Amino acid sequence: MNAPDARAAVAAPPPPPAAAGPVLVLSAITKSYGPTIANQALSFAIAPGEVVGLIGANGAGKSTLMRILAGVALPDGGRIEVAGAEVDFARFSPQRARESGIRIVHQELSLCGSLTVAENFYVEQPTAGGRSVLWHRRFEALARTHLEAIFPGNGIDPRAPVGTLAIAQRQMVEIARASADPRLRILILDEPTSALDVRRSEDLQRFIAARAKAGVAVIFISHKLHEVAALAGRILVMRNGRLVRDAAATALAVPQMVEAMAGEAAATLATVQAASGVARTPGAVLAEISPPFAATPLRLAGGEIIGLAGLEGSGQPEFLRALHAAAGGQARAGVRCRARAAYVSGDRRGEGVFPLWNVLANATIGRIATGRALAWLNPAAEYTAARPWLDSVQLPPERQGAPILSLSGGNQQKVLMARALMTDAEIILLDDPTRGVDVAVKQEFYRLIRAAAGAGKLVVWYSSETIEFLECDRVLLFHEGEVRRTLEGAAASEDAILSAAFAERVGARAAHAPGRRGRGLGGHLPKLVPAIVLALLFALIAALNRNAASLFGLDLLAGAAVPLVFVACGQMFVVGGSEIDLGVGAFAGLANVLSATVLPARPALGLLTLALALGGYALLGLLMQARAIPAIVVTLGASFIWAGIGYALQPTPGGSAPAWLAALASGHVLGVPASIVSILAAAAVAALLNGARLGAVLRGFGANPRAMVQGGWSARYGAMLRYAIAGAFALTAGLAMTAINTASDINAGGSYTLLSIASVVVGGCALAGGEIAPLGVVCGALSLSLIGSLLGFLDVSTDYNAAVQGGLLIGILMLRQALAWRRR
Amino acid sequence: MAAFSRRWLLALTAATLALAAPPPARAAAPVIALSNAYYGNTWRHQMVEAFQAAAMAAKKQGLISNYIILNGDGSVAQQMAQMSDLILKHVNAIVIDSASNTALNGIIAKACAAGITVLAFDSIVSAPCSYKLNFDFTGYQATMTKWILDKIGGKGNIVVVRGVKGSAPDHDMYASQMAVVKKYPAVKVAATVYGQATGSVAQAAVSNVLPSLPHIAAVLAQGGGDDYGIAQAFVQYGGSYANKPPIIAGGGSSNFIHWWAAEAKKNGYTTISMNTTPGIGGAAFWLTLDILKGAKAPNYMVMPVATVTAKNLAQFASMKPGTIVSPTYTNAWVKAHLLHGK
Amino acid sequence: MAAAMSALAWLRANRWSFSAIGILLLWLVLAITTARFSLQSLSGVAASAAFLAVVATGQMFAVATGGGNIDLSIPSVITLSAYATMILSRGTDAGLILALPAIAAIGIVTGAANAFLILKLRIPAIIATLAVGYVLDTATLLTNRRFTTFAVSPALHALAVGRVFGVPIILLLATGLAACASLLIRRTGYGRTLMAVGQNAVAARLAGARVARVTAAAFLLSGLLASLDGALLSAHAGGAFLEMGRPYLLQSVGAVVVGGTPIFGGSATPLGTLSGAVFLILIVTTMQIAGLPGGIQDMVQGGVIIAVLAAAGSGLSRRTA
Repeated sequence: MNAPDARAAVAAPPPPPAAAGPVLVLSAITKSYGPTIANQALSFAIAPGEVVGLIGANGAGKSTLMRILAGVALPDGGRIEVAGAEVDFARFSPQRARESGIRIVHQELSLCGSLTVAENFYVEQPTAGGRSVLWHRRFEALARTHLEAIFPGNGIDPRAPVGTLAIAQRQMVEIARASADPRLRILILDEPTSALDVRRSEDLQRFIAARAKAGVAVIFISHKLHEVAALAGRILVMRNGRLVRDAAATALAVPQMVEAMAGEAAATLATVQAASGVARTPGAVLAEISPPFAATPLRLAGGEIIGLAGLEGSGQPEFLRALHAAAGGQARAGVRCRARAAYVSGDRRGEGVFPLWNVLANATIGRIATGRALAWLNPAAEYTAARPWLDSVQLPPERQGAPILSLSGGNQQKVLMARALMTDAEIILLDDPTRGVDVAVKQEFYRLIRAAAGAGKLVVWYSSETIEFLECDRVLLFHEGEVRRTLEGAAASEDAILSAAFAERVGARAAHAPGRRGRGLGGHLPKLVPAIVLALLFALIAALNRNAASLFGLDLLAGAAVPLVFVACGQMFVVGGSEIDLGVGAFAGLANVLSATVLPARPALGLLTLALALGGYALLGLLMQARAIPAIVVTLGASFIWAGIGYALQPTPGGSAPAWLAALASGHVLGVPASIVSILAAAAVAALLNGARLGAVLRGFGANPRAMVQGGWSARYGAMLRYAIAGAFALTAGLAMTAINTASDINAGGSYTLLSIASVVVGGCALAGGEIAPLGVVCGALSLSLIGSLLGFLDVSTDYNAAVQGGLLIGILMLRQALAWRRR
Repeated sequence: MAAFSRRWLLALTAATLALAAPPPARAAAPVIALSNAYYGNTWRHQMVEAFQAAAMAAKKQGLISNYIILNGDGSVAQQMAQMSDLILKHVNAIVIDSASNTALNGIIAKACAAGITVLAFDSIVSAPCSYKLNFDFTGYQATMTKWILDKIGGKGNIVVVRGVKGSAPDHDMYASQMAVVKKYPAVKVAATVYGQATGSVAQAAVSNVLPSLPHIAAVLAQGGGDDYGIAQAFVQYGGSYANKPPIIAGGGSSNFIHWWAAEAKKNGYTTISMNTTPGIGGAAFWLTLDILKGAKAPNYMVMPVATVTAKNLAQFASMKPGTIVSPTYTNAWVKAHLLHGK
Repeated sequence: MAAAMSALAWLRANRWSFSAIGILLLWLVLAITTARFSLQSLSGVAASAAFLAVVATGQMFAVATGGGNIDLSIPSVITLSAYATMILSRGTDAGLILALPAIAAIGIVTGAANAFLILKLRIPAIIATLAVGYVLDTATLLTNRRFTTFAVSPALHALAVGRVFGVPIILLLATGLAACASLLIRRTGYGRTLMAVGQNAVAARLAGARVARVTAAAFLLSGLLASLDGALLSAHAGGAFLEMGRPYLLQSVGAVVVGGTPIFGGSATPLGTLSGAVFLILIVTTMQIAGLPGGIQDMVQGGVIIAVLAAAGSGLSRRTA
């Protein structure tokens, strides 16, 4: 399928009806978050086929508006009409938004890293593949088609896990995914080209134009004003939550856009320029920058304000981190630092704020963490010490004892600033601190920064708003991770910086199509480790005892492992959902008891009790989601319950196996003993489940639950399903125990729990979740079982079993780490 | 996985399956193996030592060509793996002190099918093909309980300390004790706790409940070292038990016997101790050897227990601390008492 | 109504209160069942709870480091150090003095090994501590073979078994430990930094904390407390036994969690851990006295853990989100 056809195929949805009105109408949409008004009385209409650029400074309210349109947030007031139908906010949700034809590509990517590209397409649009069993192929084709349509020659393998793709490729996948929806009426792109290079940006622009012609309305948010000017037919400017300009693109040139966005900032611009006329004499040299960060060595001195400019993704935050690490004593190539540094992050939630604490504790932690370990803390003294700093950042005293999360973003940022200023660090590192902060607070920040520099500190400031660099004494222009130009003093005007930044980009080497990741042995090796370990173990055993290498021997060795294999498969699905099940072994024991006591005597009742038990297991998942209790604790409590029920039913081992079950255990299939068949069956069933749509959904929840929920999947349902599967495997393990031993013992299942966790980890599934590797886990379980046998054949005392198990666990994980590091 | 790794796996599997080989011929003099589920307490230590002593003697006399001892960690999974090992090593006989009454039946059946003689002792199994050498848990507990309840005059409060939760011996012993208690309506069970046949656990369990209980006249137990733990619990509690400890059912541990002797000297304390003897390890060995040599034995045999009363208390005064009362059983004894029926 | 709401809010804010309420309720049940109403009925439980509280405090520090960290090597440390104490002290006080460094070393080296695996090799804590525990199990088994003595050093015995005005010394030690831990957490730089690391390790690092050192110290503490507890346990029981530590594995996690420390870290309450330990032991004891069959006892234990968390749970998680 060659590209032009693909593009034609994709770009031909049915043309809109001739007399169609606007596809989107907003009337007086208002939204507040606590004291901050994020959107105020927004009203506008968009016609089908319009390309609208939405611009505004950080914190202007664009993201909030997009969240409302996408169904993630609900407005406090106002109406929205989509294609003539009014939106019922009581029932609006991301799924409903998608049904109405609104698709959004977020700035924070919402892909599930451990799922393949094709599976990510599935998760967003489950119905697109029909009901076929070959759904993988369908979605791979879908993914390929849409990727090619937008970005020809992208070379992205739809079967590759998204986590292995470069960030530019991931952005391409997200965009392709959103545009693949046949119901698409309104496509919203939030900073779509932030990670794309020139060629791909142009591809995207062409695609947007094509879709617009076909009737899809496109809203895109961007800080790249030249791009907006080139692409949009109409421009909406937001400032402080309001819509301040709504004009045709031809009527607004870039400077006018800036003025509309900045508004009062333009006035502050004047004051800024006036204030920065005050010269500061640089103090001692505090840091030296050399390759790889700067081709020609640079010296940074106290009292200076250094700006890190350049387009997003040029490496400024990485430089700040390196500087922070170097200041903390770690050696970093290219940075030598002789002073301590304090860091102020703009990503408040992810890197800044300690959510359980109040304002005071958040502010003082900087000083405390860098102080002596056994320093005695006195709350009253803390308060007295912190008070002046909090006052200096204009934080009202009555808020100082409040929980940090109750503050607005701007105020939270002030606390982070106070934290940095409170330490004795000579260097202050600012990582885009004014992101999402309103103008008045920004003013205070500039004042603080000036004061800090005036007090002799070195301020290194990365900002995504070029206008802020006017505060700086020197501006370092970053591109591809290093400093390309230094602009000083008057030369560092906003225009100069912007044009320099763009010039760098245009002059950059033409980007080549990202190649496919090498899929030779190196790529496969981690997955093969469990199988290789198993093979080695078995080879050793066979070498020591030839009997072991016969079917008879295999049957014996495998027989002991059957219950563990099943329990490990169950645990695998739970770990795939990023949780840990401490009750799975006890549940297997309960199934063992039920199937050896109730089942033989009264089969119908026995089956019923087994089914009820399984239902109870699934309900655990529901309980965890409903009450937000961690799985590890719920399953721990549940393990007591399963054991208690089993013990109440059968205080002493005994019972008998139903005839059909015992026959299964001793049977053969095509000459292969039942034990081996059942292990292979476990692996096969687990692999089937994993390869089915179900598996993709479960792994998706493990990888990125928020994205899944926003995609319309129910977390509760997913949890119930996950635990139902785990319970089913554990139940089968119990049945196997009954079959093999023809009796039951409630204590026999307990030891499998921790071993199952070990098996899962040995088998290659990260405890962080999102991965399910049936073959690996089965090999892992078999390996752990065989260790005992191997040591027996080596005539090593069984005392060493445990140490060997522990060593194997650590060894395999170390090996996997080493492989992962080498790949980077 | 891609085709590449699938091919690897197939190759590996094919290669290993192709290695099927017939088992080698057996050695002339037999090899006897001991599969002991748990090595974690004194009783088990002594039992394994008894087996080893007997085996070494037999090996010296050329009666066996070798012996193997495998100790587990108490889990069924590990003992099953050990049994698989022994089967693959084609030993002639396996003597097993099992982790579970039922969970090893499957592997034992496989052993019998492979022509291996299996003798289960102490913690026996329900597999039909295995010989069983058991203690009469029910019988001796009934005797002991009756003696103790008679001693307290048939009335008063007692505490019952059970054994390993969920195990067959615990179930049998408890049932037997309760059957006797029922016959004394004036005796009240004030509390039932689990001692897990371990001194420290029994001590903690009794200490926990003691303050909430009325005065206790006697304590029933199951042995395995719990007797000394129970005694310590009462000693540490003090109070009304300071010079008049309750009658504690002894489990044959030397620490308890020493304590009993001291108490007897101090205030005439008296009790009874009956215990299963770890010497059964040796008895089981000789029994198995005799069966291998062709002796006929019943499928189910019963070992006697050791009894300590005030009368023979002095005999045990020189026992080393941390040991359990047990005679050494010789081959002659086995021939006389087990093979020719009782 | 408003009073009830604010009372509930206070309860949620002071998470140890749930287990404290549980203790009161159980005490009541105990009193009714046995027709005795006295502080004495709690005293029997006191010693067992004290031993549990000591290791649970160590577990609490490990859990507080955040990220789902947990210390599964505790039972193995307890058992091994019990053996070491018995063998090295040989029943004399002089021997005890010689044995003490070894005992401390067991705990500290284990903690260091755990920290190394978790921090440098990036192995998840649950696996790392599990593996280290396995290795220690082998060491214990090997030690067990040479184990012959049952003599306890008198000083240690006095500590483990003695009473002061009827209160077990071990309970005083556990309470003192809870107090010190509380001071450490609330009033020292280390404690504050540890709580920061548990809430958000990245933010803590950027704020200047030495995350690796803080985490390692927490695991060292956990190991040390477990080894000291093992030594005391051996004196209390008059010997060392395999499986001595096994009950403490899940019970330590239970005490921590029921006591109100979030399993994902960032906050810790030693007082709650102590009361959680008392609560758990009291549950078992009450059920035994009430004569509940064994199976029901297990079910109740599990149900209680879940119930306490379901009641207190959602309040916590919203704040840690």
